[in-house]
Amino acid sequence: MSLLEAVRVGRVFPIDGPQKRFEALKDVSIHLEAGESVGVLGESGSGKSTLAAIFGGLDRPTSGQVLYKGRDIATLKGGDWKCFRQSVQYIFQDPKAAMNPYFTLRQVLMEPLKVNRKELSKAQMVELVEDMTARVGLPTSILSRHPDEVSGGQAQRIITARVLLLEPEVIIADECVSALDLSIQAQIINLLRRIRSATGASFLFISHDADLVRYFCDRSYVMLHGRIVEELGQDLSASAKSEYTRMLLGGL
Amino acid sequence: MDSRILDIQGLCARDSVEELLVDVSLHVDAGGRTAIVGESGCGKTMTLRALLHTLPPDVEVSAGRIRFMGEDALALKGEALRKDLYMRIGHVGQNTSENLHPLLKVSRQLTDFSPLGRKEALEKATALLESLSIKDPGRVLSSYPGELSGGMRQRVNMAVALMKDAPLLIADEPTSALDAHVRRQVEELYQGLCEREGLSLLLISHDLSFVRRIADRVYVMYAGRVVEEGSLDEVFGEAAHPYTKALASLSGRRSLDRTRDLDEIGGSVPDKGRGDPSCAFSSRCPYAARDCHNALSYRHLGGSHYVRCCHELA
Amino acid sequence: MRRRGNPSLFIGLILTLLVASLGIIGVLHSPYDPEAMNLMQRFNGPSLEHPFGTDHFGRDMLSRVMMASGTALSSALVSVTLGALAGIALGTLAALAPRWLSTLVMRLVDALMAFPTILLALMAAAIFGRGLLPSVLAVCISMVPSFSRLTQAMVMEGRERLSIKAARAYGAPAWRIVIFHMFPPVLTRLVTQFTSAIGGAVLLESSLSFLGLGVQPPSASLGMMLSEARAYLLTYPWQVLPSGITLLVLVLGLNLLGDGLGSLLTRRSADGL
Repeated sequence: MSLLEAVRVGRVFPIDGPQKRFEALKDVSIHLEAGESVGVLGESGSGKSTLAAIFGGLDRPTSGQVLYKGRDIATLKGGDWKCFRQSVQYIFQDPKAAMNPYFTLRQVLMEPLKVNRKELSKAQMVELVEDMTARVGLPTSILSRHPDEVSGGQAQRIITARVLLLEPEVIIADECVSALDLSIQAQIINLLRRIRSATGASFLFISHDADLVRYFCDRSYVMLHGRIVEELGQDLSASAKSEYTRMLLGGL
Repeated sequence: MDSRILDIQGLCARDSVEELLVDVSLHVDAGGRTAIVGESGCGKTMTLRALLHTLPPDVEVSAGRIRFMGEDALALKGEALRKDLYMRIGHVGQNTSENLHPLLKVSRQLTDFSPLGRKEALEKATALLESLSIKDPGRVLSSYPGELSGGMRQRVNMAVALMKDAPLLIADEPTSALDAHVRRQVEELYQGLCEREGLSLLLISHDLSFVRRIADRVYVMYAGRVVEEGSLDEVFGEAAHPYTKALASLSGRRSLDRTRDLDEIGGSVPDKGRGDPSCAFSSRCPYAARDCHNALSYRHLGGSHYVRCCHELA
Repeated sequence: MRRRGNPSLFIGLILTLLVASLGIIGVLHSPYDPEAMNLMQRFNGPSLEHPFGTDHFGRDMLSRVMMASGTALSSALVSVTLGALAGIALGTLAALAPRWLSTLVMRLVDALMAFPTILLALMAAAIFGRGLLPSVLAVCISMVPSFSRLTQAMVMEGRERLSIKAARAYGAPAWRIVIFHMFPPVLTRLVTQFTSAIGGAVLLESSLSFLGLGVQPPSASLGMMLSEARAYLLTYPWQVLPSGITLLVLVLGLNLLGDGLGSLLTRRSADGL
């Protein structure tokens, strides 16, 4: 039984226009085992982000199901749903947009604790937040700033800290470094690697950058027009069969 | 006639609180291909905005001059600004999807500002798109930007910039956040452009592998200053500044070793104290020593190679 | 954050407070009874006893302006508050309700928007009789559409924001998302809109009472004073000045205040560089 699994998932969006509907995902099946890092490669518009949203329960599929430890997440209720919600977390492409601009970074980090760890006292929460800030390599003095007063790399570290505070089993990273400079990309990827070895979390690593996927992931899926066209092992190019995949990997 | 199409000397810019650009001097030779490299926040785009008169409202140029095709670019105003600067510079912006109007067909965006008649302008646009290796220019011309792929939009953007027959083309981070194979297409496009006669290029990028394929002269900027300059071979072959070396080590991604951490430059670009005459990179520099806190000047390393660092790196 | 001066806020606040204090002083201690006539003292120019002069019944214009400003401001405040509350409720409903209900609500709002306020006031006057109440009601109803549209648009837009998705992802309950994540940006816009709407309401109430639909004599209102002064425009033209200038200062002040609040409350997003 996989930790998290999508079974023949489809997602159709109603749109204006002659077709009336847009199939963003067609019959997609992927699975993620405990402790595994799986890449999803594809061009922009191939349905990667829709898959990410459905895989983590932020969006509902129009067909098929998502199974968390063997149970359909659509049937989860109350405590079970809360448990799932807490154990699958996201790191998005644009870290600043993922924070409430009216919050200070301290409030940004406190909120998940207030929501999910009600048993903690305020002082314990503050302590956890400050520890985590240090763990992602930021000074605690930064916590009194607002999201628009920090750099993109610092913002992505804060988002990473927010995710880690909930001790998730699965982290879905949706193009989490593609908007950053190469130097900052390296910092964030190294941080994620340290987290992975420290916590054993599973990663769904969505990216258009084949080099990074090869570096970070154990195996990968290739997406095109809402379908999975190929599943690759760790050494991407060696196992690639289709021409599209080879083009994506830059082999041509 | 000047051999330099664009010549920036000692440019300083500041806002109400602090300095943003300090003593930036750089030039583009007529027919040359100059690149400015550095991380975000180093002042690359700010330099460009000073040239294009698009600085944020609280930022002003406090010293220095910019000569573009023999004219004082900072003094241009009104109609002269449009005619002598904007119509002579093709600018491909950072975010290609935001630079096109989403509700106008590509054909209109390519022809509207052209002094040619509509029919001739359309013919020219078609020819331009073909020269940018678009196979069916008719279809592209009659589409809206949203219907095109990222690579196509990038080409259309370049076509908009080239329609003016401007002698200088400025490209601001043309490869950031592009899919790998689209990036390669863009690289080829720019390589093709360089062959065009009489076109000079000013390229702004943090992607050194891209710069290496296109540019012939490179400026490395850090914290609002130029820290190293020289020809392509001088800067990449004999990199003299630790920052240049660090940037170069980031771009060789093809052969990543999974057992090791990625090379990174720890910390981030400082946003304060840029006017300080000592080295701004010393807080992130592996070679940092006490000398780094002294006032620095440029060292000449032969040819057109200059560096702003006190260390003699092999 | 770099801050620059905010002259609109400053000037708007001063102008509004000026008229508001006139109104408040008028309630606490009016120099004369604003309704006391003195036919021996008609059309007096400004003097130490009557700084704004006297009107065609010999009533003290300063006292009348004070009374009128108080009425104008308080009735505008009441009508806009009620209208805004109704508008916000409808707008939120329209943004979150199923499609058919939201279409129904918004079409109703559209119909309301197309309905002339004067006609509304006439109808209200026909039902409730002339006086302050029907004019307040009419102004209140006319405020509903702009607030409901603004709220609906902002809540709809807010739902798509990444920060909201992120909050859902870490399990924030719906009430938290609405109050802490959706409301603050809406609130700043609403405060701005509210302040400007009060300016509009003052103007609307004045035009209604100018037409004889609002406050009834012998009470004073700015519109009514203007309308009375109009009759003597050729013989005593300065009669329009006290009420006219007060109205001008008040509406200008409220609009500037709205603008100033808007730029104060909008957090500028980082400049990308």
